[in-house]
Amino acid sequence: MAQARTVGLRMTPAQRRRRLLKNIWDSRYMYLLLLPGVLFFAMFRYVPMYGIQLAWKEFTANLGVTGSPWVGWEKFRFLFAEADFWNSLRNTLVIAGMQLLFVFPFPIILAILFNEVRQAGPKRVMQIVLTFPHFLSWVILSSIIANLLGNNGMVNNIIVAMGGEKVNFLMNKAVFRWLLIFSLMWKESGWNAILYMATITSIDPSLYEAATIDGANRWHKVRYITWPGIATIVTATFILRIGSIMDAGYMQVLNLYNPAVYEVGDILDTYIYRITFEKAPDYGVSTAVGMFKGVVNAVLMLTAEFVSRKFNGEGLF
Amino acid sequence: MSKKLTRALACLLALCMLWIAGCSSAPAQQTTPPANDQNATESGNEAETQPEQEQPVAPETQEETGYTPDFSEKLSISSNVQNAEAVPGTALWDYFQQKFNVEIELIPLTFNERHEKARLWVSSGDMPDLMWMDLDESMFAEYANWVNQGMFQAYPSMDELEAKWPNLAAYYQLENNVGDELMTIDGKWYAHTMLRDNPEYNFMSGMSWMYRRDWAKKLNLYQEDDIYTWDEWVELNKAFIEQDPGENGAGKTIGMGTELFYFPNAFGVYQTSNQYGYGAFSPKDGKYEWTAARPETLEGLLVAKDLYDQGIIWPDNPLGQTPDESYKAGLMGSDFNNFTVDRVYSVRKALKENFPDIDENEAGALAKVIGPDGTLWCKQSQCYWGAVIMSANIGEAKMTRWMDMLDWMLSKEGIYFRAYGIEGTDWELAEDGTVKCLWPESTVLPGTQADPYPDNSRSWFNWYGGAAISAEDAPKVNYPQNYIDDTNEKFAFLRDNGFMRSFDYESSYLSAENKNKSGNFTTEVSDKMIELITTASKEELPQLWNDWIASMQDKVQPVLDELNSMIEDVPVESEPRVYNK
Repeated sequence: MAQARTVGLRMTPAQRRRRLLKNIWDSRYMYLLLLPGVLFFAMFRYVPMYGIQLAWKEFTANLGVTGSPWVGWEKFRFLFAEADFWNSLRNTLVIAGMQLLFVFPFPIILAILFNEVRQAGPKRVMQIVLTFPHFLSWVILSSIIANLLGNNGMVNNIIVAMGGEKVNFLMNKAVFRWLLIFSLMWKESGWNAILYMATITSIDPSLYEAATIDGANRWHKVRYITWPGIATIVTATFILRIGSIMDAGYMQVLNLYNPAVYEVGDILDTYIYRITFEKAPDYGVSTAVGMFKGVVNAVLMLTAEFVSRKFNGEGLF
Repeated sequence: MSKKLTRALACLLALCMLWIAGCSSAPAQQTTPPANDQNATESGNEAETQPEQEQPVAPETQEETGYTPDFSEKLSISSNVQNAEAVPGTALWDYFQQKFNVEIELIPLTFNERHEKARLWVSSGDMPDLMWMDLDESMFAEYANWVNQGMFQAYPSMDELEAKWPNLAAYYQLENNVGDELMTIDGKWYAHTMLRDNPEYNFMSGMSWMYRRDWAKKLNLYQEDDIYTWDEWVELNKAFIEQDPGENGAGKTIGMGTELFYFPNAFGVYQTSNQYGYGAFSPKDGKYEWTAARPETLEGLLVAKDLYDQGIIWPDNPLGQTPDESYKAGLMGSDFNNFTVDRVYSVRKALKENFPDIDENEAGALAKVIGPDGTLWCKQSQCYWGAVIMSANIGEAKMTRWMDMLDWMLSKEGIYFRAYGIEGTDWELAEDGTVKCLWPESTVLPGTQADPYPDNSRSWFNWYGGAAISAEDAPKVNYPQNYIDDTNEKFAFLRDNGFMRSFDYESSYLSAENKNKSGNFTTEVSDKMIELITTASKEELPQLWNDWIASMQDKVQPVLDELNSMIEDVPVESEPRVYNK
């Protein structure tokens, strides 16, 4: 190994380039497989970033993004003076926090529970039933929820049939955030559990057998074998989730909220949507919000990575 | 996986991705030229001009001016339209495109996204050659901004219209058509406005109530001539819910409903407030005020709040569901909506189809409801609805072709074409010059003629036809006469007995820096009203409303200052008159 490194160091730049090209050519089909992903990220993630400059510009349609005049920090100053911005920031953090607290652990628990089911048939049926909502868009799911929870929906009809009074679930500030949490759990938990189930599957079965011989019960096996086996992947997904904490569910909120619950439901993404498309747009302000969101996300992700390495010894990078 | 398979898969994936990427990119846009520079605005799309398929009929020369339209070059013109899927493939569409030797590329649009799409297209440089816009006073500020940024092509001057397109010139010379003046910025106008079809009623909006007269009679709460005081109206709607005359089942009958954009104004604010008639800003003692800040608005809001708390207003209304569907399904007692004859026809026809045994005239009757203050309120609209704007990139050839098309659609022949279809097949002129529709008899609505063309296939002509078609221009033969009579009777009654303020064009269509930047705050007002009605208690509502009004002053005041400094002749506030039943 040390010899190989020495040889590598002695190579001239031209030799190194040739070696790199040879390596690429040898693995050309792997690189070809990589190409679509690279193109995707280049086209849809990096190229559009030139639009970030709008946060410091007064956009005019005829001059375009690059030609519009610079206005310094004016858009940010305007933004930070807006009460609606702070309200949406607060809602974003609260809803994302609730998601982290309640939605994030649920697929992990689900995967562990699935692992404990021994009969293949019921296990498979449950998996399909729980995974299916993931494939429905929020447009469809929100219609289902509105029909279930609306004034003449099934839930209210049951309440009335049982002698109760109708509840306006969708316009109730106290209920709305919980509605987001439970509907997100319903939609995504089954799908997200797949990752953890795959990880659990990779745990060496002999560990469970040895534990059984040693007298471990099911709880002990979960506690001392399953959990350590998936802890790494849980850490990685946790850091990734922290890194997107400002994404509190744009499509979900947009399809479920209404002016009655803006105070508790309007998140940064829906705020951007409303100031951009529902009235005379100021693209500079919209971009400033997006920029702010991205920076906070990046800082939080790096912080989570740092904390994870410090206390857990493992991180994402 | 074998090596060969991996290679094949890799190549296939890469090709697929490249193909998708290639398909997703829009054709290159030309740099936006300055507005009005017609010589420099030849669109890149014209390079796509296709060779002749079928030679169009040679157009006639204008006798007075010598202008001869030239359709020899086939052009492709893009335009946005609702129900785009229903338009192509009909004889109407083929006839029109062939007549003008154009291929019209239809860009689909849904009504709810009309403003959003317009903003996106203009800002991103993806605007179609012709863009229909719901260009009312709430969008005027953006229109003015875009004009100032050079995004639109100006329409030809009135002199040029008179020389080349006489029908269009005559259209703009109509006494009540002020569309061109409203849309004029710095001496040029950039939007062709579509004149409404009811000048005889002073462009009164159709906003009014349809209700279940049959249910009212069943409950012995019917009032003669469908005229109700506010208390009678509330009592009736309460009885609809509590006594369930439609036998829908306990708790399933809805009282009052409306479109989201009329909520909650339809339930008290319009009936008490100066907002009904003045719009976002209203005159008071020679100065403009923010209408939302006036006491009458809060008064109306409390009326709506009371109805909402009693459950008389449809509880799901703020969620944006449309009331027509519930009404047509026999679940709703009264529906506040834009009841022109088209909507009356649509609702009654659906009621007849859904409930063949009921009298749809009784189930879809039009009510005249007096407001809580004793006034029979009605509202004047601006003289037009919708406008067609040309992209700055449209180019001389396409613009001229559009003007030729527009001029023809405003001619007698064009109006009959839009109303009925193709001459000889769908209509003919009698010896006395009157038009005779040749459609077959309807089997659904006896005594009427059935439109042979599919539903919504006239969408493009409705949006781009130049003007709404009045009954005087071309009688609506597919509507039963009593539908038309009932609607006209309502309009005439309101005109003669109601109180309608003149639409305030001055404040609504002022182009000024702050107003163009802020808009007219209607979305903010509406959102706050919905929030307070649905979530605040009646006791705390006035304070919360007043606090919010105060918090908005920093944004509103600069606009008010502009209005008050720029408009010299602020209208004199007119006092509502009381109607005695």
